[in-house]
Amino acid sequence: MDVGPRQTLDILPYGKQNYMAFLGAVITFAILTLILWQFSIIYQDNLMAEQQSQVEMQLFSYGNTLTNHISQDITYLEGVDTFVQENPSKYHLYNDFDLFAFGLYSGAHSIYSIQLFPTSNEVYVYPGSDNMSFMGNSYDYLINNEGFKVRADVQRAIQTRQITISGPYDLQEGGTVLVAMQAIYIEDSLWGIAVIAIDMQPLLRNAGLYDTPENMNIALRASSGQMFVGSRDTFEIGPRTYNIGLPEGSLELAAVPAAGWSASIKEPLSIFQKGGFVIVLLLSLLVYILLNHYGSLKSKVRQRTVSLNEVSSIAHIGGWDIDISSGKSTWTPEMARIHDVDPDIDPNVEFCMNFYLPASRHTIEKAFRNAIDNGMPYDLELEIVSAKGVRKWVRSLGQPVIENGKVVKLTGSIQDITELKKAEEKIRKLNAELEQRVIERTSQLEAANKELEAFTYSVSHDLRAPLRAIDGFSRILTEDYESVFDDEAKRLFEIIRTNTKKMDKLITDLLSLSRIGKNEMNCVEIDMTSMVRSIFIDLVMYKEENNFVFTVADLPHICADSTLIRQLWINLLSNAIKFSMKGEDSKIEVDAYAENGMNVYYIKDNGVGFDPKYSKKLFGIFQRLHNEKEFEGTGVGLAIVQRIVHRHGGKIWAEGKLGEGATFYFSLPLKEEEHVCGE
Amino acid sequence: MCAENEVEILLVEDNLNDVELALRALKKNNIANSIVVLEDGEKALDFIYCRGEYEGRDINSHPRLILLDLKLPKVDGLEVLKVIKSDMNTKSIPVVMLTSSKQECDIVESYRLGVNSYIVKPVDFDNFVEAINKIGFYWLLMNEFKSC
Repeated sequence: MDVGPRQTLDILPYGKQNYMAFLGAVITFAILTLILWQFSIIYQDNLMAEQQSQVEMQLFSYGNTLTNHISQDITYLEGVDTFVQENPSKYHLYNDFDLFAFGLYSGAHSIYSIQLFPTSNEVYVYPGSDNMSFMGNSYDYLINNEGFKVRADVQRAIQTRQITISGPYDLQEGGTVLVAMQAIYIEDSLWGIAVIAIDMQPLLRNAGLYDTPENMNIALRASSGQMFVGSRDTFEIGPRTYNIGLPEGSLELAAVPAAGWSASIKEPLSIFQKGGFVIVLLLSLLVYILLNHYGSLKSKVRQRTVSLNEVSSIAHIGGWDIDISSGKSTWTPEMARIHDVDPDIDPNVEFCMNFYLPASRHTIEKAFRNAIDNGMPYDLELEIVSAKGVRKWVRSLGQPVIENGKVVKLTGSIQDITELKKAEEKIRKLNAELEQRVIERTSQLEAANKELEAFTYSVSHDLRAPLRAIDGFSRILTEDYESVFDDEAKRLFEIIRTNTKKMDKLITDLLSLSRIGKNEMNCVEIDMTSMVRSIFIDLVMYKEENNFVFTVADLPHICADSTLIRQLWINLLSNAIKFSMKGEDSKIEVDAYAENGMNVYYIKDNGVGFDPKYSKKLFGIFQRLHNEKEFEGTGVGLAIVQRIVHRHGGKIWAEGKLGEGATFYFSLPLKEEEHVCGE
Repeated sequence: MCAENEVEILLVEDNLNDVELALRALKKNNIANSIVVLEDGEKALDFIYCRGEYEGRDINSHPRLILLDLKLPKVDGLEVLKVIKSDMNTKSIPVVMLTSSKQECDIVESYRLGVNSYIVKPVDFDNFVEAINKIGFYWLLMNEFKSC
């Protein structure tokens, strides 16, 4: 974690990031466009070269064919020369020329005519004499006629003794011929001129030049500039050319693409450029998006870093890390604040360790070593003394970073927990005080409880003994001195004995009341219906008047302490019996209903009832609403009932009216067996 | 048969009024002829083990029933019970605890120590006579079967 002081962190506003991304995109666009342009030029050159080589190949094919045909036809002149040299007699020529010429003519490609002009001025022409016109009709005419355009060429042939090319010439009957001629010398004297006229039309047709591809313009011209094929313009627009060498001069063949050089590569180039441009645009957009995203991420990271620093400063948590191999460490500004040192200081392990108090230093060094050696993280609470001499409690956490099974880095945090420690100390002190107070109070309470226990014990033992003596000796008196006492005396003894029994009952009730709170509760599921029935039967068994109408509904079971609940029903039922026995048609009804998660049981009688204004006093100890003469009792029974109900977490209440009976309600919580026994 | 001179009932009770009432009850029912009354636990133990005052008494002559009050001076009733019931020689003597209350811990502790029976001394004398009658009759009879 390498975080500079937080004040120096600047956050780029969103607009600025946007601008940066846009700039990046524009630069990318410019560079890519430049590259595209360069590629486009190279591509164009390639296209052009390819096109030219195609044209050249085509041109070569035409040119080659043409050259072959022409040179073959011209070669026949030599044959004619040989024919004449063999036998230059008029007779021989007259008889055999036609046959000889026919032989050549039929084997050649495009010979228009074969002619012999001997100096003796006869003329031999094949085929037929119709073709004479364009060459004149005699040797003399050939070399002397000023107006005849071939004359110069004939004279050159005679002088050079070489094959001479003349023409082309347009024929009267249509067509064009090219003329090749040779002077024939016999024994070094001129014999005459041999002429072969090559018909251009079949020549060009055979070479395929009348059937050129549509996408190509082809032109052929003689060195004189006369055109055989195509337009003269073809030569003006940078054609590829092919020279057809003749014994004298040449023919020039030229070709350009029909639509011009640049037009035919326009389409693929345009596709290349357009496609390239789209790619450039997309790439620029991508750059824009990436830069924008990167910018916003960066800005988020900065914001988070700022808030992290703020949070750590609020929480007093500083972070640090140490690279194990280089020993280089960094810490956050909060670390510096906790140690009270300059945030720009360059920390190292030794520097940090010096802040710890000796005991803490020992602990942290051990933990630190263990973290590096065994990869064990640590979490310690230690004491430091800051650079300003302030003692502080810190919580120091260290976490090893393990790569390939080796600890390469330790990272961790230090939290200033001085305040927390102070508070903890305070709480501990208060707790200890409280604990002490609780112990004191408990022992006081225990002492009081013991005293109380001793008291109830002695009440039950020691108070009973005198009672027993009073009762026993009264009885002995009446038995042993029966003759001495009159009836009144015996009645008075009876009063003494009645009261001792009452006192005994009071003691018993008080003891059982005190026992309710003392014993542990043992909760089981109780069948209330059968419990109520059996208690009622026990209670009325020995009563003389037991003409009660007693109804018990189907009561819900409950989990409670069976002994206590039995005591409760005994008290309530005997109350109901006691207070309704004097009336006629005594009715006692027991039922129950559920309410707010409790079972509410009630017992209703039609006995003497009570004044509702005393309903609150009913459950108080020694509270009696009737005098002893009317109903006997100690005034403890309902207090016991209330205590039992409260111990189970329930409530008890009563409704009644004087002379109209009473209803006692009590509720018991519906709980699982093991939970009921809470008080 | 059992010896003529043997003690039938040992009553250990410190309250003289209670002693008198108990004796009256026992006599009234003609249960026992030979009753020894002692007023504290120490004397009771001395008597049973023929020590101190009772040195020379035949140690094999055990009372046939011990009625033992719970609260006694010097050595308390539960202590006496413990000694008697942990000694193989005296273990078989029936001991009936007499007490004024139904304090549960006393009852539980007595039974734990091996008491044979337990009587809450009723305040009502008539009931007291009846209780003594029943307990004496039952245990003396039982003991007779055992020892004879």
